[in-house]
Parts: sequence; C-alpha cells; structure tokens
Amino acid sequence: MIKQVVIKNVRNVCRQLLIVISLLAGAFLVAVFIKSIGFPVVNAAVVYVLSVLLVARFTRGYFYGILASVLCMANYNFFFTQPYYSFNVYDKSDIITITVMLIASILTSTLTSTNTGKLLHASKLAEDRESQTNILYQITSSLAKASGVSDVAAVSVQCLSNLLDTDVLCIMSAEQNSSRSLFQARRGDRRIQISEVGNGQIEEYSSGKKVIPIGDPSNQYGVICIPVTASQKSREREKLVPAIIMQIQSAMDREKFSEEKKIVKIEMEHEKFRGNLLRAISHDLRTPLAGISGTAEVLMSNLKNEKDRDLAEGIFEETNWLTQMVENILSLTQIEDGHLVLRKQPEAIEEIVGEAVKHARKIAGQRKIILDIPEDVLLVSMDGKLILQVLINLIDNAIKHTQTDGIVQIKVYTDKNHVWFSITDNGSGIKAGDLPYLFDSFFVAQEAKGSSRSGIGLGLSIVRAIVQAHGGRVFAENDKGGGAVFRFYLPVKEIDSDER
Amino acid sequence: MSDDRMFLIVEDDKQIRSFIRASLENKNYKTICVTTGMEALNIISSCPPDIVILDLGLPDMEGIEVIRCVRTYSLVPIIVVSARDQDREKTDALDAGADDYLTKPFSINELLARLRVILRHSGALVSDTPEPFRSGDLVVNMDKHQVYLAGKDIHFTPMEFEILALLVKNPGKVLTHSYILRAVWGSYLDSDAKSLRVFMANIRRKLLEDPSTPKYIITEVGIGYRFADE
Repeated sequence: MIKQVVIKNVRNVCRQLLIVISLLAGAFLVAVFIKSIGFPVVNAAVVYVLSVLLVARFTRGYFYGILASVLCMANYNFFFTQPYYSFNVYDKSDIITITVMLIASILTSTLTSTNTGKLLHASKLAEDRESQTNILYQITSSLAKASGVSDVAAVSVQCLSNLLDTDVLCIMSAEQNSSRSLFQARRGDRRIQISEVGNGQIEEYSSGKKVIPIGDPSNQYGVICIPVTASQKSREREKLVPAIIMQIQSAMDREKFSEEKKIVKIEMEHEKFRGNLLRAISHDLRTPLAGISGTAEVLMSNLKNEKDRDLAEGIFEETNWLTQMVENILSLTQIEDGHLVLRKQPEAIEEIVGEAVKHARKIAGQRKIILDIPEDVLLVSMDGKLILQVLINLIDNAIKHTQTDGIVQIKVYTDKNHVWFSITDNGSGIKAGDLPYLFDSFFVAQEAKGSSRSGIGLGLSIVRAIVQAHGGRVFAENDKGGGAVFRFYLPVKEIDSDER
Repeated sequence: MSDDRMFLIVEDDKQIRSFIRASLENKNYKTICVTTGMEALNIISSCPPDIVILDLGLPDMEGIEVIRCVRTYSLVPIIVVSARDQDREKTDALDAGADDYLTKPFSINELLARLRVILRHSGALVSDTPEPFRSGDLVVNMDKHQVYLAGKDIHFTPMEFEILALLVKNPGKVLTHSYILRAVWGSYLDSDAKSLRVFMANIRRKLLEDPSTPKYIITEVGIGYRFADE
C-alpha cells in the first residue's frame, strides 16, 4: 500500500518535471529563433516569462513555477547576455532585466499556481459534493420506497455497503421476543442476508466495529455496524454516515408509525366486528325470548287446566331468567370492552333510589324495605339508568339472600366529596372466604351453587364496573347484626362544571 | 267487554305479533297486523286505527320515520315497542310524537295497562277549560293556576305550575326531559336539566309524594316523567 503511494508520488514528480523541462526547452528554441532573425534579445526574456506562466498553469504547487523562473533566468543569462556561455554579466542593464524578470516570473508563477490550485480544488470539491448529493439522493429515494421497518433496515445496509464499499451489519432492537433480526450486506453482493440472532451473539457481531445507534436511547430501532479499517475514499464518505443514519431513522419512524396505524386500524375493525356480533346476538336472542315469554303469559291467562297453567308459568319464569342472563352478559361485555358510554346528567338521587325501591317492592314479597334518604334535593352527575341498575342488582341480591320475612334497608348519606349508598340486609351474611371474590365475574358463593337458578355471578361484577366507570367504589362487608352490607359511593363534583 | 276499537300492530317478528294479537283479541279488541313500515303508513292513512303498536326495528324503514310521517297528518296514539334498550332511540321516538314505550321483553299486563291509559284519553285532550282537573286528592285549576291537595290550597310558583300543568294535560303520557324543557322554558340549555330535577323535587314535596310509591308523578329514569293515571 505505502509502496504504491510512493510510486504514485514519484511518477507525479517526474511528470511535473517533464512539463517544466519541455516548456523551458520550447522557450529556449523560440528565444534562439528570435535572436537568429535579429530581434532584440529582450524579446527572448518575454518568451521565458511566458514559459514560466505556462509551467505554473500546468503544474501543481509553487515549487515548479519558482524552479522554472530560476532556471529560465539562469538560461537567459547563460545564453543571451554578454559574455555568452557564462553566468557573468557585463551590462548593468542586463542585471536589472534579469532581476526584474526573475521577480516578475516568480510572482506570476506563484499567483497563477495559486489560482489554478484554487480552481482545481473548487472543481474537485464541486465534483465531490455532486457525488455526495447523488448518493444521498439515491439512499433517500430507496428509503422512501421501502415499506416496513425491516425493509428499511435491508435497504440501509445495502446503501451503506455500496457507499463505503465494505460489509455492513444492522442489528435490530429486540421486540417482545428475545431474538433480534440481523441484516447483513456483503461488499459487492447485492443480496442481503437476514437472520435471527440471540442477545448473546450481539457482541460477536459488533466487536471490532464501529457501532452507530439508530434512534434515541429511549426509542432505539437498532445499531449499524461498520468495520473500522477503511480506505481513504471510504473515510471521506464516512462523513456522510451521520446524515444517512438520520435518514434511516426518519424512514424507520415513518414505517413504525404506519405499522402502528395499521395495527390500530385492524384492532378497530376487530372491535367493530365484535360489536356487530354482540348486537346481532342481542337482537337475535332478545326477540325470540320476548316472543316466548309473551306467549307463555298469554297461555297462563288462557289455559283453564291448572296443571297446564303451571307449565306455562314455568316457561314464563325460565324465559325471564334467561332474558336477564342475556342482558347481564351483554351489559358486562359492553362495560368491560370500554364500549360503555356514560350518558351523564344531573340526576336527583331520590328519583333514582325511588325507582329502585319501587322495583324492590314488586319482588320483595313479605320482606320489609326500609328507605332512609336525606330530605334535601341531592343532585349528582351520573348515568341514571346505569346507577338504577346498580341499585336494583344490589337490592335483588339482598332480597335473594334474606328469608321471606327479612328486612332490606336502603340508605343514602353524604360526606364532603361523595354520596354514599348502602344496602343492608339481615340475611346470613357473606362468608369471609367469599369476600375477596364477590365482585369477580362468574363468581357464585359456595352455598348458592347448589340452587338451580342462582345466576352465574354477573350481577355484582356489573355493579362494580358501573360504579368504577363513574369514578366511585363499591364495598362489601358483614353487618354487626349478621347480614351483609353493600356500600358504594359516587363522587359529587360541582354539577355546574360537570354537566354535558 | 265488547269494543269496536281497532288496533294496528306493526311488528316483523311473527311470535311477538301473534301473542300481542292473541292477548288483544282475548279482550275482544279488533286487530290488524302488518310487518313493514310502508304497510303501516298505508293502513293509517286509509282506515285509521284507534291505536298503533309499533316496533322500532322494522325491515323496511326506521320506526322513528314511521312516527314522524304519521304525525304529519294524524294524532293516532302510538305506543312504541323496542328491543333496543338504548334510551336515545326511545327518547327520539317519544320526541317524534310517540305516546308511550315498552322495552322487550315486556309483560302483557303492562302493555294492556298502558293501552287502557292511552284509550281513556285519546280524543279527549285536557285543555285550558274552566273545568278543574281531578286525580285522587289532587285538583288542578288550569284557569286560575291553583292547586288543591285534599282540599288544601297549595302554593305553586309559576314555573312549578307550568310543569305540573304540562304533565296533567298529558296524563299517562311519557314526557321526555327535552320535551318538558322546550315546552316550559321555550329554548333551553343542557344546564336546565338540573333545574328541571330541582323543580320536580319541589313539586313532589308539595304533593307529598314518595318517589318509591308515586301517586301522581312517575319518574322514567333517563327519559322523563309521566303523570300517573290509574
């Protein structure tokens, strides 16, 4: 390598010297010719100056111009001033001529070579810039065509490999799984090798190489590995690498966002499908159930035979149970999917609780329902229908777990930021072991499992979901008197600012 | 109990249609059954029924459209039956001019009770007559803006009276929050929803109402109010 460079330099010097010698020889011949036809010898001096100028133009650096100037003047002195063929000077004016010529030629040669150098440098610079721009343009357009982060990585290693004329690696950051994608472009090979590597192998691939990260530390897509030993040309081009890495990063950003957008779109379609399915099921189940229960009800009043009437009543009751179940499953899926849209309005607590108690009285039989509610009008922003459902579920639950002569007490009270609702019964209470799971979906208390129509444990999970959606909480505990107490609160905000 | 009154049942589900029909015929009412909105509109314009039982989800058009169309030329009472439990649609149907609503599955006795209420008042619009309105212990004198409960004069503010009068004039009919607000306030802001609840609470206190055993004013949670008519 070094030998080559030396040889190249020696050749270069020889060529420059050749230019100097041939131009000087030319000048000498012209000067001889001028002298032979009898023109004044001073003209020969001018020819020499011209030759120095030409030397400066066609060689690089000051050295050859100055060399040519000195040689010219020596030559002129030797051949064209008296005494001929000697470096002595008789005529004083000749000394002036030679001195002035020497200064003039040195000055012109240096100026010319400076300008030439500048021009050459500028044009080389322009060429370099053009090729850099070209490379960047090519990389940008290839990156723009790439689709998907992996494709961007493949294109990147290819471009960098072409640019730097070397092997380039790109190791992507691990996503969910621990293995990482490795993109490998070999020098002079258009194919990209893609493989999976474990975390442990990273060192193996990146050791002894320049490792450049793509992206910020918080959001790193991967690293590019470039060999450290590179030629002069690639070292020049390596200056482009940071700019290219920026390009790669923005292409990866772009692709990542579009991939994320795609995923979101797919998810949205999935949810839409799910919603449609639920709606279809709800409609398809509700309508026939309504038909069955209505028909059974008509039969109950039409049938004369008491046994038949009992049968019809059985159909009616089972259908209603089934309907309730379908409604519960539907509400719960809607709530848990986050599809529950709260239609909050300022509601008077007495209206909602009043409706719940009205419902309770219908199914309470001999049980006593006690209502304790503040006398003042209490307005709370809520979805009235849903809170009514919460109260009904809790009251139903209380009625289910009390004897036929039991007592269910419904109380509403407030503290600074909350309005509290409590439903207390004097039933058997909640088993300590059941307390933590009470609000979980499909949880049914142990002793209730035997009875046939105990439900599938959705009522309380619906309660919790609705209350939480309102920013409240629900609690279950055992009363000192032995029964169960369910309490929940809703936040009371300044209604004026909360309304919609 | 014989009756010449005719019921139009608009319902695309065969089973529901047939049990509604059966229960009405048990009571000796005449019924016509259709399955589409277009057929319903044809019948209502050609041989007007006394009452329409309308399913909101029809195969050819939205039930709400049927109501809007009917209301351009007829005041025939419409009771909406809907499988959808969305309040929005119910409210829209009531605002479009439906008289009452039921959600599937509903009890036949409930339907019959609602129908009775509607029939009792159809044609006999309670208006600003000098004749006072009476319901149980309650007497409302529209003309003089006076309210008596068990013979005792109860003081009502003008706004409270407006609301009570509106409910009393439409006994048994569900009046949506927005309908009441529009009728009493003229135009309204959403923030008036709060005022309406407070006025209702005050009216209830003056009428000595217990919301869990209402005698006069029935709350339809999420929808509106109706004046009891039993």
